[in-house]
Amino acid sequence: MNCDDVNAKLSEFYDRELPADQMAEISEHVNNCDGCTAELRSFGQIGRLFREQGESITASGNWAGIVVRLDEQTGRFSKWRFPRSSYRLASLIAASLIAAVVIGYWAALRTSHDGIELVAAAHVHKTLTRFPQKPRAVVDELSTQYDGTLVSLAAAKELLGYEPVVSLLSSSGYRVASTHVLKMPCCKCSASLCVRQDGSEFLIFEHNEEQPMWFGDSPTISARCCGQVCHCAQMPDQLAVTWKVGPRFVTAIGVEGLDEIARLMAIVSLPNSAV
Amino acid sequence: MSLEDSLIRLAATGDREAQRLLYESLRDSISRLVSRIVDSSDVDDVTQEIFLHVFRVLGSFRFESEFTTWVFRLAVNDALQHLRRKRRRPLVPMGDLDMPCRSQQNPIENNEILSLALSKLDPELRVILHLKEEQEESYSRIAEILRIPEGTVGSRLNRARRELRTELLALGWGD
Repeated sequence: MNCDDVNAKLSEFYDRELPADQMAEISEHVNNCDGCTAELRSFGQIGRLFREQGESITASGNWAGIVVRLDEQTGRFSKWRFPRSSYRLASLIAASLIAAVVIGYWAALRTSHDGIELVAAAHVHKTLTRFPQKPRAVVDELSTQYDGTLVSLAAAKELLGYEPVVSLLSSSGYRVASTHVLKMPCCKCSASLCVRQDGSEFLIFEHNEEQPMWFGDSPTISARCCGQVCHCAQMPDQLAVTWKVGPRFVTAIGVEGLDEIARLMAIVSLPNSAV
Repeated sequence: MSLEDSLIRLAATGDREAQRLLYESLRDSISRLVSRIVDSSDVDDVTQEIFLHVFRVLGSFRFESEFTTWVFRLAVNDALQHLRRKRRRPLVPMGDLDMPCRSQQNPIENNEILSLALSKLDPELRVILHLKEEQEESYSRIAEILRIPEGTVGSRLNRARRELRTELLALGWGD
């Protein structure tokens, strides 16, 4: 094998896409040829350059914009008219049947555990986006959906096996208005409605597994605060944040700003608070 | 039927939650692919158009190839199509462009140098480099996405790597 033969197959050799016999043949040539060795080394350097840059590329996206366009295409928001003819009535029946099939299909999908978790996470996200407008209604809806039990903090400790971190808030100017223990597909978790001194409310979850999907496609940044990494999401009309406290995750919805995030993290991350 | 298959079928019926889950699982990789083909200012718009296209024709997906292969193929075609349309539009006169200048004290970073060098390559070479170097796809999957013979993948990668190296060296790479 000469240099031209090797150069023609150098990418396949570098990417290990050749049969073993050809790999061995080219390897032997490269080991004894400075020119081909240099060529191969430059491929490796280019690969490293891509890998280094790959970590710095951030993707952005706009699901809301896509939904608007999809709705425009399907005419989902066109004005509803009561069917006046039998043709329209037939269309309505057909649409109902299709909806029944889709719902049945959706129900079948939900039998998969992963599917259930995905659906639940998507549902939680959808519900939480309404928190700024109707905080108490959101708590009620989550409680209904996830077999919630309204409990005192002491009772929550018995049900969960640990004392929710919100118990630390009362000495810092906040009040815990209610705590529900929810049976989510991922885990049993607590959801506490907390009240600021001005009467406004925010919600704190404590859960066993990280739930990035609760934030949907909201723009998210990672930050370090009080020596811990937190993920802050700009959800519609509100900030949300999640961080790890001991073996669990704490997620706050309806947070007012970065100062409040820092304050909450400092309060609930006190020594011995989380375990 | 796998969970992914169920999700695809459901998304094809227009279910927004299923569509959103597919979008979220593919957004990053499609956005990165697009960023290697079109101008950075167009990445978000083109990515959005690609997903709209995907959901519009999802019913025609026959499950004969991997779903991501099908989406990637569509994304490559749409992004290249965008580039062709844009090239037909009149160019901005050079004098109107506000080009940033660099001093010796502020050398080009490695990630900038790669983007600059890539921008000088033919779009099809950029795509194949992205699929191999960043998405780490096999030759058979690259061939499937680009609809080219598997044997052509190696020769096109050879050309792409060598042209990229030439452009990198011209920009002072490795100095």
